[in-house]
Amino acid sequence: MKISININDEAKDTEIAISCSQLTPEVEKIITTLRMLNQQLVVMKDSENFIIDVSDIIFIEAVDRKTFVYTSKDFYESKLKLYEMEERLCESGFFRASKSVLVQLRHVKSLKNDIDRKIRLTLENGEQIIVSRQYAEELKKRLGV
Amino acid sequence: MEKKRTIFDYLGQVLMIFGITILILNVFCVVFGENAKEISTMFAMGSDGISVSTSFQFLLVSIIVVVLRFLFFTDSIIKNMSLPVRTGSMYVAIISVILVMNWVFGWFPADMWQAWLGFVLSFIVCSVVSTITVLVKDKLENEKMQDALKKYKQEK
Repeated sequence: MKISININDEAKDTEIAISCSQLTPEVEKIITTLRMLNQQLVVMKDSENFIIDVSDIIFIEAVDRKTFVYTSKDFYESKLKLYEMEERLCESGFFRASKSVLVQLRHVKSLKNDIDRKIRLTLENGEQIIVSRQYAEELKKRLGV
Repeated sequence: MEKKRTIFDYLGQVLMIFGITILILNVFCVVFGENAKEISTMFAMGSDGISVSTSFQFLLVSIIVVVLRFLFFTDSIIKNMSLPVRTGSMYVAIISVILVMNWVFGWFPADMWQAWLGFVLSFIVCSVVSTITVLVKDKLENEKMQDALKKYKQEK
């Protein structure tokens, strides 16, 4: 893969152009990463690609080695693994609720203690997510409790 | 990240319950010991304190309570059960254990209504106090977390 950087004083905006013979998974991952830097995410539904704003994502779940992205209106599939999502989205207010779930904190409606020092989250879409004991302390630290 | 609980954490819980129970029993010995020594094996030594065998019997009770707590208040074995059902089930299990212990060790005479009344009242008081303490602590913690979440959302 060749990377060229063209610094031009007259350029009004930063532009990234990708030239490739075909859309390989590697190229798709590059696009996804670039979209994320722009607070957007490339996701799929019924073999069709969609670009969604990261701020619209309520939570992300890994099921059977697949990653599903949930917004208030719909859910999509992503090619990225959950740990890759976590690496890229932790700065955008996402936190690990369990081994298989990432939640965007700003979409949490309420939270309360559950048994065995776990935390039960109610999300804006009414869905309930349990933060495992392992990650409950991290969440409390993040909230400054 | 929180460290995994070890056997020493459970041992700590056993010793805490055992310590508090022995302390309360010794206070009972000082207050009621002389009057109760004829009717209860727990107070066989009167106001001098409790015997070694009674201490071990209560150590066994403490271990059983910690096991029941693990059973009902973690989801290691019981996965889907609401908090009130868990609490109620645990109290029923503890009462059953104490009844069996009373029958085996003769802590108080089964045909003496005053002893039963004392047992039931003590159990209700302890249960109500501990349940209210847990509920209040939970409520305060939940409010604190909710406020922190609200603050976080405002900052972002």
